[in-house]
Amino acid sequence: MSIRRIGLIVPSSNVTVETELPQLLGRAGNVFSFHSSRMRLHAVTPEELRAMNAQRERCVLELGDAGVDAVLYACLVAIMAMGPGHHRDAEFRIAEQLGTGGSEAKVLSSAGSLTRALTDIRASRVALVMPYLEPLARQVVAYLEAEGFVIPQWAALEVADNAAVGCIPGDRVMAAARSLDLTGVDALVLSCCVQMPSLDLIQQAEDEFGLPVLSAATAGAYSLLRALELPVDIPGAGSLLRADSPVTV
Amino acid sequence: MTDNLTPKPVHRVRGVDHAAFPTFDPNATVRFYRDVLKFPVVHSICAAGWGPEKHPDFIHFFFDIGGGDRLAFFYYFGWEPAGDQEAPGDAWARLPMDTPVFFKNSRHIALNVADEEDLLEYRKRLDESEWPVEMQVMHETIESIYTHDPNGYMLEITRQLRPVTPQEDLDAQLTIEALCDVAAGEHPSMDQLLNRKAELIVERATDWEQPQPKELV
Repeated sequence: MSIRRIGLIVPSSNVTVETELPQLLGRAGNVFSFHSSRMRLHAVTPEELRAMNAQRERCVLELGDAGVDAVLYACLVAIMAMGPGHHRDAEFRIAEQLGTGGSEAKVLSSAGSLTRALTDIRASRVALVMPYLEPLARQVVAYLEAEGFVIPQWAALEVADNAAVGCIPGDRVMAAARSLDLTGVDALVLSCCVQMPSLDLIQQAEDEFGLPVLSAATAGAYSLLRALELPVDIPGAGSLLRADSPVTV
Repeated sequence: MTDNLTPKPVHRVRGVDHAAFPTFDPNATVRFYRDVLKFPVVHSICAAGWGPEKHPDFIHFFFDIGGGDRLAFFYYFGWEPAGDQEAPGDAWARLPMDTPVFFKNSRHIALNVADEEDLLEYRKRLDESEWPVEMQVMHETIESIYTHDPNGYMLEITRQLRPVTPQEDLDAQLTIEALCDVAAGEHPSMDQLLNRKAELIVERATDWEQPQPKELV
């Protein structure tokens, strides 16, 4: 079985993407290797996010050199803070850069992966738990609304320091989810952020709340599998990742 | 979507997306196109050779040449031009030393402007630069200025003095058909072409007796 090489473009202070995605895809029945390129980022502020996006071209060059099969631009808020629909522009520019150099890598972003996953499970009313300061959280809400989703409930944990976001304990994330009124909600995004850890909470939250629970990581894994035309069948991380599981009675 | 009532025409292309050329002198190229001619830089891509062929890191950059069309360049880091740089030619290739000018200049790009004022504006911009106009010519149908860009590529800027008529289009079609016929044979010549064209005119004349659109009569 051939090894699929996954290229990750991550903020330099991110430690969660490279933890959760290998954990998830390691259970997907194929062999993956992971290759990261990092963009300096400390605080999740509009100024630092803009400066970080300017480093994207270097990251794409580094991952192109590694001959990856797919690239995931793994900073959801960096894309969403640039304004509605920006994931399409960012994915296009990365794909153009790789394609011009002869690479055939598939290109995804966390923001695009999340909207794809929500669309594929036909969710329209979506609740969010985010680590961001409120102004950025409102931008994320507006971004998803511009993509056609309704966001009736959301919680922002107001952590600006990105290293601190990577250490937010799971019980705080679950407490934020429990504070939301999930009546009439089609799906919960429990960690609408690739840095706030939540992988261990997804299945537990889905069982507790009785609705599909996604995270930036599970949506990223889902979209990577779809892009690479591999079956989506990962146990214990929410119904999204069991999309292609054999139906059992 | 194409609706069945109005099928798409056979001829569907919409002009030049981009024409691309290598450069070894991005500074002069940017001065010439962006600063002298005032063509906006509209796009750039930084990439490396990730396909089956190894090649250097490169920048692919684009200038707006109007009408949504673009002139593009490749700059390859560390790549040196081949051949005798004193020989006639350009950044892409050098030709044998005795290559005549007409042949070298046969490969060029011509940009269109609306009127004499615009043509003279570009003449002024070039004449005030390191790349003055080398030649200005007026035929019956066009007026053009010519120079070579910093890479040795000949650039023509031209305006049409009158539209090409349908009769001229028809004449061109006959000429080119005759050309293809004689070029497929031994030792093609202008005489052969003109004879073949006369034959084609005789062959087709009966068809032209049929009612024609007004402008063709």
